[in-house]
Amino acid sequence: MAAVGDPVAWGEIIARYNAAIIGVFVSHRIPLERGRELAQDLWITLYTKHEAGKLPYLRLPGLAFHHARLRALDELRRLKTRNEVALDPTSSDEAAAPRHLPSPLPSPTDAVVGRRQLALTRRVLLSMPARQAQVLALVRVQGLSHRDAAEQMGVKPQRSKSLLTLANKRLRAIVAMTDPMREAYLMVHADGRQHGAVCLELGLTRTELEALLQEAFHHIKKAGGVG
Amino acid sequence: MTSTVDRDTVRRYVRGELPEGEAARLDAALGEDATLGELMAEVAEEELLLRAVFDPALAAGLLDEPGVQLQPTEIPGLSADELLARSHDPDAAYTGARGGEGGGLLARAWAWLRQPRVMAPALALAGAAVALVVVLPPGEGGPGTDPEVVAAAPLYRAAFIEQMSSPDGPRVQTAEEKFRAPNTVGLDLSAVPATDDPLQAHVFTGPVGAPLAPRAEAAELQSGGHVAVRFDVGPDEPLGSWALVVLVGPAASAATPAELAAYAADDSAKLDGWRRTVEEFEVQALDIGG
Repeated sequence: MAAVGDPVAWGEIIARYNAAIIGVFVSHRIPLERGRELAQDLWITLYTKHEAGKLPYLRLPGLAFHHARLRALDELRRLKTRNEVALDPTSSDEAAAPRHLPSPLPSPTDAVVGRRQLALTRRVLLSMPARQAQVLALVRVQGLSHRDAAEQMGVKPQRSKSLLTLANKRLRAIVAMTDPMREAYLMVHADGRQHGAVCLELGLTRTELEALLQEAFHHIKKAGGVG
Repeated sequence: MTSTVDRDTVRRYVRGELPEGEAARLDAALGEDATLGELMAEVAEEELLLRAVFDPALAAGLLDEPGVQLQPTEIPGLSADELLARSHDPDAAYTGARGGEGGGLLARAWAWLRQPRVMAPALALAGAAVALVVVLPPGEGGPGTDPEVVAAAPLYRAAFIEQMSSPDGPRVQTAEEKFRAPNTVGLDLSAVPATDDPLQAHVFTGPVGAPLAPRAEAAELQSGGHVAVRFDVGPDEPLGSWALVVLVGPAASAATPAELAAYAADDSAKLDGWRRTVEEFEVQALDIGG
């Protein structure tokens, strides 16, 4: 729970959760720019209501996600009925936006962090067994049904489901690895680097690298990511 | 502390795929489950990143900020088609190790073959090898009198682009900039002479148009008259067409290195009792993940 009452605290909360809130909008197939606008609007709404005493206690980020889901659904309804994504210019919350509320747009530092996360996600996907990466792309990103994804991959729908379960677990397992283990694992399995080059760059002996890779495999296996 | 709501349900919530009743229950749970919001944040960011990896415009939009301009080539997007075309199995080596403990030689061999760095070239080269099968004419004075077959698996070399391994974050990759791992090699060639007489073999290689260089220890005489040829092409050697010359002759031959080099370079400098086989292969860069 987070009860906030000052812009600094708000800034920290927004910095921490804004990308995730935008993620909710984008996951609902709302364009990024519109998602940003909605996220900004959402924070402003929460802040002004809190300031006005209408929300004496703010449970964050739960409340923000609750609002984000409702906003996303509302946006989709608007989109459906108007066949366009339009910002309501008469939004009283926005008009009442306090000027001192930090911008939820990413700062240069946020962008660098985001870039690293993005690069990491890409490498994790490349490191995955091809089938697992494929099913992630088809089902989670493209939104295909398991039946359609299975058809594209030439497998049975049940197999597509089990692959997705494995892929999700593997994705989290790799992200949760210790930094040295993850880097060694990704250098070998995502970047395609030879063991000798990895040893050289990470300052490891071949035995140490082999042990690290073996440990990484067991880590993924323990997490349920090995089929 | 762990949320009582499972991750898959949260994901469906974040994606708007939960039935309204279930979503409403989750809304209510948000006020009671302190960790649920954190889990939602984690899942929502994961969704965003996954989509951004496959959508360069989304990625650029996410990270775009004055002074921190994302270059389109900096984090190349992935496509499902690209992933569908891959055959990557990072577990092969480790499951193979287990197979080796109790699974015998076949399991270990299969596990080894399943390794991406082995399987990829093996598959890629299986077809190409057909084109490289050379049926030698009966050698005039050569080590055999029957037709000999030289089967060569073409050279495979991977120059991997290292895009994001810099400790300072991803690097901008330019067209001129390729990061090559000191990788690969793999020319396997075997000659099967139809003779029981002892033989010796010499290998010469070099980019087409450049002088040939001897490859010491590249040829290995094996039982049954087979000559296996294997050598490495280092990461600094040029890409493109290469010539491969294999000379096979009687072990008792007194040919000098200079004579062998001359014969390798020019068929007119023929040595008695020796057979000269010339082949070309491509040294190619293989971009992974680019």
